[in-house]
Amino acid sequence: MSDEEIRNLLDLGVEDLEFGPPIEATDTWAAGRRTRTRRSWGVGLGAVAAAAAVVGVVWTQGLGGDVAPQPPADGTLTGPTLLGTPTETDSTAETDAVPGDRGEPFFAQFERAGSEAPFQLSGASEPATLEDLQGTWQGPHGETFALDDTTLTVDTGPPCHEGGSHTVELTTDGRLVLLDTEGWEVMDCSADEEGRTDWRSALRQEPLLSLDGETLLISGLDGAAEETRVPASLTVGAADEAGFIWEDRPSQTGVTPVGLGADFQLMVSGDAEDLALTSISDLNLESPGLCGQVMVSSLRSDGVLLAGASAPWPVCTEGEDALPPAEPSPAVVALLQSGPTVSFDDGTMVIAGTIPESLLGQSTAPPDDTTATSEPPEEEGSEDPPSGPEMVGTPVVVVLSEGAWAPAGELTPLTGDEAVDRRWQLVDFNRESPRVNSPELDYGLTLDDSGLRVRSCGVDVTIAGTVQNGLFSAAGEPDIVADPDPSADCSVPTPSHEWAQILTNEPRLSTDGEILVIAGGVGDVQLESVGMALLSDTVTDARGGPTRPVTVDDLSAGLMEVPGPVAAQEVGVPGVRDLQPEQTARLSWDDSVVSVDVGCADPLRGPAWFSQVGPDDAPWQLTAVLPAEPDCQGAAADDAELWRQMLAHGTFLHHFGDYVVLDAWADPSLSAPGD
Amino acid sequence: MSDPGETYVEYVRARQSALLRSAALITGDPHRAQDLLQDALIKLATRWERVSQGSPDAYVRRVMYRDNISAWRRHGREVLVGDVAEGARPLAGRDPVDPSAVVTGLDVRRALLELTDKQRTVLVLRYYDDLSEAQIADTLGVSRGTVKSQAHAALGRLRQLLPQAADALVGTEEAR
Repeated sequence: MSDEEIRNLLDLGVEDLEFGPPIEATDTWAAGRRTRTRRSWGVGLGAVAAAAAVVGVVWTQGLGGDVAPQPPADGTLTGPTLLGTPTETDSTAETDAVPGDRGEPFFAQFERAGSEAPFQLSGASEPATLEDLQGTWQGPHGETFALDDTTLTVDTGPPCHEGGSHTVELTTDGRLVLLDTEGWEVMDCSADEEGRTDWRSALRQEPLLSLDGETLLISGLDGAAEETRVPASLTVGAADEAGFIWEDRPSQTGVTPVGLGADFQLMVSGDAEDLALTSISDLNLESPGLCGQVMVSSLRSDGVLLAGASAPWPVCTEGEDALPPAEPSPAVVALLQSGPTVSFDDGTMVIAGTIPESLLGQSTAPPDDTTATSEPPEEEGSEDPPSGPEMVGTPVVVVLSEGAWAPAGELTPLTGDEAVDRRWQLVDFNRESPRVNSPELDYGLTLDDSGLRVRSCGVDVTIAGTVQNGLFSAAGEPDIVADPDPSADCSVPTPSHEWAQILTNEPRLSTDGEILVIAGGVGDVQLESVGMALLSDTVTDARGGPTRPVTVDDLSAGLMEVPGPVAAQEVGVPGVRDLQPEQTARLSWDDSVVSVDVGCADPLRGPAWFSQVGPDDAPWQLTAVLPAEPDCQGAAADDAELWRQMLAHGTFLHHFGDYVVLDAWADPSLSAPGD
Repeated sequence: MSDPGETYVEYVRARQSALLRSAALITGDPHRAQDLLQDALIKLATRWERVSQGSPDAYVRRVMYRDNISAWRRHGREVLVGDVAEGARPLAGRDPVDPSAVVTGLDVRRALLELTDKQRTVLVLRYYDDLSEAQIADTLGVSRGTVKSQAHAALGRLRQLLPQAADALVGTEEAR
């Protein structure tokens, strides 16, 4: 039998398949060229991190400030500006089309042949150029790299002496591109010396070449491991006046946060100006009473941080001064070694890079860490992050009004002074249009100096407490009148015991003109944070990017849910829940009514309010009243309930480039199987 | 000098059918294959001026192979086998195959999905795309020895899975 018969058999496997319409070559051409154009500005900034070259581009901007690491670029798509002389290439020159997106980090120091290695790096470096690199360089394990014009000759050193000659290019950001990959002589030699770089693989990953003084630093991912890396970021704040000691600081960067942990500090050696580091010669992960880990490092002028292998601080490993070894978060170590970008703003440092996917579970700060980064932003006017009680209870929202139903779509936190001498009546949404219930004389919700009273047909609840900055704080147990209307036939959407639970769970009270919106919780379930990524219908080639507020226009245009795995791994959204992987939910806004289509018989619809909470560039909060009993079953019903809870509690939205990141809270039982 | 866009369009129109069929064999799913190829062609467009001087096919195959592995890791195998799994039981749960029965396209796809990613890819590149061992080694970034061993293992496994086609599943190298 022949190869032709095998081919015929394989052909059988595709001959009855039904493919979709042919791919339009003009479309893929246009898409590719748009991508190339868009990416070129990032290279113009000179900000490239080889290790961060994943599909989900990571760069972040602190929502409360101007921290904006420059974007690590994906070297496969940048269309880099080349310094070397363009040369003829063959097919194999393109086989590293997806370089730098996987593997273990490597960091190697090379010195010019015949020169001595410096006592230590200066900590400040620049992208290398071909002119800089001309000549012969010696690596840490006897490697010899010789560059003559655009020809790089590599000898990996004893005992194997593998290597070959390649025509190379160097991008403006110091990325080495092999224009041919043939001719690498592989020796039958096993020399798996610890710390030795697999240069055959590493050089194909377009490593970054940087110069720290006279030392050549070659770094990147070696491509040898297959594990996918995902975006992550570390946000730390200066703990001293000089900017050399850093501790965890809460942040919302739109990507998976990693935390040092309460017991760890990041200590750096280098130079700083106004709490912004201009050089970093080593990174120390320190913990009191333990022997910390140190990494040789260098900070490039374009914000890319280069870091070597992690090792115990030599002075505390042996002898009288020996200390137990510290065990910093592997995710933090991996992030620092990934070639991340670093940016500073007002005492805050954001380090954005990648970590192996397997470290995702270890990436967030421990639960008892007060600097956990998944907290929602502060309420307006409050000094502290939202406290525990706000995250307790299945989210519900109750809407009342003093008069006609005339929402403007934006909420303002209620203050104690504004609440005096007002009476709000329940709004009935079980009609074609919302209607304010016709009140009996003493019905309604009222507030005074002593507390709050709710009176409606079948409900009479009084509770002591105060309203401050939109939060009602109970000062005692609720007083419930059992069956206050024994002879009345009451429809009671919110019974007395639910009112009691809502009012004791520190509800948020906000007004929209004559309308009062109460967002609270029923029961004692501890809510968990929920994340999603959404995209405008019109975006076809989504990219992450700087954060910015979401607008009503964004909502009006319609937002589609991004598949959970993409949201988690490419956008880097923490706490993603995708209850219906086969269903794409769609969120839209029209004249203060929100509509969410999760696949029920009809889209979920209800009145909604979109309000700014905090400073101008802080995320906006979307609150809505969605039906509690949707016309669907199974996963769709769960999805509907998830959306109902998220919008009842009030969900924060912000842009991360093209994406809209949703940050909400919901009952943990609403999880997809396997979550 | 010709417009790079025109040469690119010519290339895609000429080669997409063959590349799509290869992708379908690798993924087991025509829709996933189409997505995979489309993404690869977009990447190809970003580098067309350089790649077109060599072998665009090799570039596209390399991108598809690596993207397929990444997708497999991200989304799990079920995403890739949806079309195949529909209406079909896993091979492990099937009744013994009648060696005299006719092999169907579904049989072939299911059998391919029983192979490892690397075995399947090597098999397709070697026997469907007719690449040499050296070309496959370069495309996949592995040694020629790996290509040889993976192809051998793939054919051996297929002979078990498709006994009715066992006679055909003997490669040139194995027959020597």
